[in-house]
Amino acid sequence: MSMSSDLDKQIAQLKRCEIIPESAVKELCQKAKEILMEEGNVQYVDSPVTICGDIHGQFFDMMELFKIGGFCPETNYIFMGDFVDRGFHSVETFLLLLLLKVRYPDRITLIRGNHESRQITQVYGFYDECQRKYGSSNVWRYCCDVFDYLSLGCVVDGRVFCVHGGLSPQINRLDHIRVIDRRQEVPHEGPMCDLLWSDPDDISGWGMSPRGAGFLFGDDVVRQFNHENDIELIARAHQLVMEGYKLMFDRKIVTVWSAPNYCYRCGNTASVLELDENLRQEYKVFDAAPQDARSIPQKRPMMHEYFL
Amino acid sequence: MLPPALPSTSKGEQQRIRHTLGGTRRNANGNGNGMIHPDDAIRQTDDDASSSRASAISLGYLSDPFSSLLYKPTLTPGSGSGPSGTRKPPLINIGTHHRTIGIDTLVDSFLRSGSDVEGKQVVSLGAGSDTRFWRLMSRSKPPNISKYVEIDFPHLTSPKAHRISRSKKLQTPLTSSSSNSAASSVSRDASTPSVPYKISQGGTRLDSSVYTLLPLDLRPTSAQSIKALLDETLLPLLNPDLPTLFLAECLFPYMPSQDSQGIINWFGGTFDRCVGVVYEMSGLDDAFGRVMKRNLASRNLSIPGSEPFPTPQSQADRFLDPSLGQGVFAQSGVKTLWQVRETVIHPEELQRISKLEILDEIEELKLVLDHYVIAWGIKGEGMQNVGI
Repeated sequence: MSMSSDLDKQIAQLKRCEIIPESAVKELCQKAKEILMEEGNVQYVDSPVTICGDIHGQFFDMMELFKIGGFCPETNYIFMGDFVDRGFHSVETFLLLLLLKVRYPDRITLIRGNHESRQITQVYGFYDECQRKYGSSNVWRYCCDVFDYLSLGCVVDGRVFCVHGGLSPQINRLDHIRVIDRRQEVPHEGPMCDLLWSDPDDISGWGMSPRGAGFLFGDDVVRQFNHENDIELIARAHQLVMEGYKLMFDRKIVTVWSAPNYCYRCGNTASVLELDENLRQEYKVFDAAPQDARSIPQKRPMMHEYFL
Repeated sequence: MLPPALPSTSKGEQQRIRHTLGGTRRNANGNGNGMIHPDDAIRQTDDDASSSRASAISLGYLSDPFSSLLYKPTLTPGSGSGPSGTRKPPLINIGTHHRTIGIDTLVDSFLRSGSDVEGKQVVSLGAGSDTRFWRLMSRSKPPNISKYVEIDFPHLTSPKAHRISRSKKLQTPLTSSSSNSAASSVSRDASTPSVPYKISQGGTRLDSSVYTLLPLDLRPTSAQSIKALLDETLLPLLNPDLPTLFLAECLFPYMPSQDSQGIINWFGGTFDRCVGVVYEMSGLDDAFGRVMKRNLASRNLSIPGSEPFPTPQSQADRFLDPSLGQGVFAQSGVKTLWQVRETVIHPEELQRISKLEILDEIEELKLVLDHYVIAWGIKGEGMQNVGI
C-alpha cells in the first residue's frame, strides 16, 4: 500500500475520533519531524488561507471548524498552536492535524503554542490523556519531540504575521526570529518564550504579564513592528475572547480563538479568519458541536469543575 | 450508631466500603424526623469543595493541618497514574485559595469587631468537612468564640463526628474556649471530663461546650417552617445577646430563594448584632452561566436559588430586602472572587502562589472568578466595620 493511502486510511480513522496504534504514532511523528525540520522559524505561506486559533483538544469542535471552513486540502490552513491540553481529545486532535501535515505539507501550517511544551502538558492534561489512552507515556514523548520542531510563526504573502502569543522586546524584525534555535523545550524567558506567551494590552510600550511568562505590549509596539516589517496585520491566538475574535489597535492586530465553549465551561463562540487572495479578511464564527454529536467520555478529568 | 472502623484495604476498596456505609447510614437514620433528603448530588458538592481544598493544600496554596483529618479524598476517575494524581487544575486551586482567603478575612474582621471581652458565635450552614473552626482555634492567640455550630446533612455530619471522635488533635479545641482568655487553652482542672464531647442522634451529632455539630436538613417541610425548625434546633445552642455570624458557602443556590431568605431573616431577627456571609455563584444570566447550569444539570444539580440574583450587587441587596422585616440587615457589601484577588489578597501572597503552578490563562480565570461572590450583611452595634 502506498504511503498516501496509508495516511488516508489513518486520516479517515482519526476523523471518526479513533486513535491509531502507538507504532503508527511513532512513525507519523518521525515523518512529521522530517517535514517540519525543513520549515523555517517563520514559515512563508501563500494566500488564500484560513487562520485558526487555540483548539485545546476539543476535537468535535474542530470538526465543526472544518465544516464551516472546509476540510484540508480543499482549504489551506494555518493553526496557530495550542492544539492540546484541557479538552477531552488532545490526542485525536493533534494526531489528525499531524496526519494532515504529513499528507498535505503545503496545505497546512502548524505553529507552536505555549501548550506545545513538556512542562505545560503535564499540568494541563495532554500527558494524562496519553497515559490513559495508550497506557504509557510513549505517545506523549513522541508528540513532545514533534513540538520542538514546530515553526514559531508564519507570514502570509509577506503581509500578515501569524504567531501564537505576540511580540517580544528582543524582536524588532522578523529576521530576529529567524536566528532563534527553536529545537528545544519552550524556555521560561527570552524571545522564543515571548512569541508564545505575550499578549497585546491597552498600555504603551511593554508591561509585565500577569501570566508570569512573556510580556504585555501596547499599540505603539505593534505599530512600530508592523511598520518596520511591512506587516499589515498580526494574527495571534492565545487569549479567550467571548466573541471568537477581537481586533485591536486600529485593526493592526487580531486575536483569533477557535475553541467554542472553551473547556466545556466558558460559553464563548469561536472563529476562524479567512484570508482571500487579496488578503481581505472574513471572520467566520461558530459554536460548539451539539452535545449529542460528541461522544461523552466516561472519564472526565479536569472538566466541569466549579467552586461548589 | 457509629460506623465500624474501616478495614485496612486498598483505596479503591475503601471507597466502595464507604459508599456502602453511606447507604446504610442513610437507611438507618431514615426512620427519624424526616431530616434526610435523598439528594446525593448536592451532598457530593462537599466532595468538590473538599477535594479542591485538599489539592490546594497539597500544592502549597493553603496551609491546613486539619483538612486531612476531616476529609479523605476520593479518587477522581481517570486521574490515576499521571503526575497530576488527585491534583486539580491550577484555576481551581487558585479559586479555592481566593475563596478561602476572602472568607477568612471577612470572618476575621467579624471576630476582631466590637468588644473582645464577650464571646462571639459562629454558625456554619452546610459546613461539610470544613476545617475553619479548628484553624481558628489552633492559632497562637485563638479568637474568643463562645459557640461554633456546624450544620449539615446527617450523611455528612456522621463521618465528621466519627473523625473527631478518633482524633485527639481535633478534640483539643472542643473545650478550650478562650472566653477566659488569659488562662484558657492549657489549664484543665480535675472536673474536666475525660471525653470533652458527647455524640448522639445515632452518631450524627456531636456536642461540646464550644462546638456543636448539628445534623439538619435546612429545607422546611410542610409540617415545619424554617423559623420553627431553627427555633427548635439551633436557638437553644446560642445566646441571642452575643454577636453572631452565619456562613452559607454554596448552600443557598440549591434551595428556593424564599427558603434562603427565611434563613437570613431568622438570623437577622434573632440576633441584634449579626453578620451574614454568603459565598456562591452569581450572575448566571450570561453565556458562562447558561453553560454552568447545563453542566450542573448533567450532574443532577439544579440551582434555583441563584435565579433571583443575576448580579453581584443583587447578592448584597438580599440582606437589605424590605420583606425581611425585623430580620433586615443595616448594611451589606459584595466582592467577586476576582475583586478579592485584586483588592483583598496581598500582592506578595499573589506573587507567592503564582510560583506554585503555571497559570496559562488570565481571561478564563477572570471569567470564572467573576461568577463567584462573597456577600455580607451586617447589623447591630460594633459591627459597622465588618467587611472586606
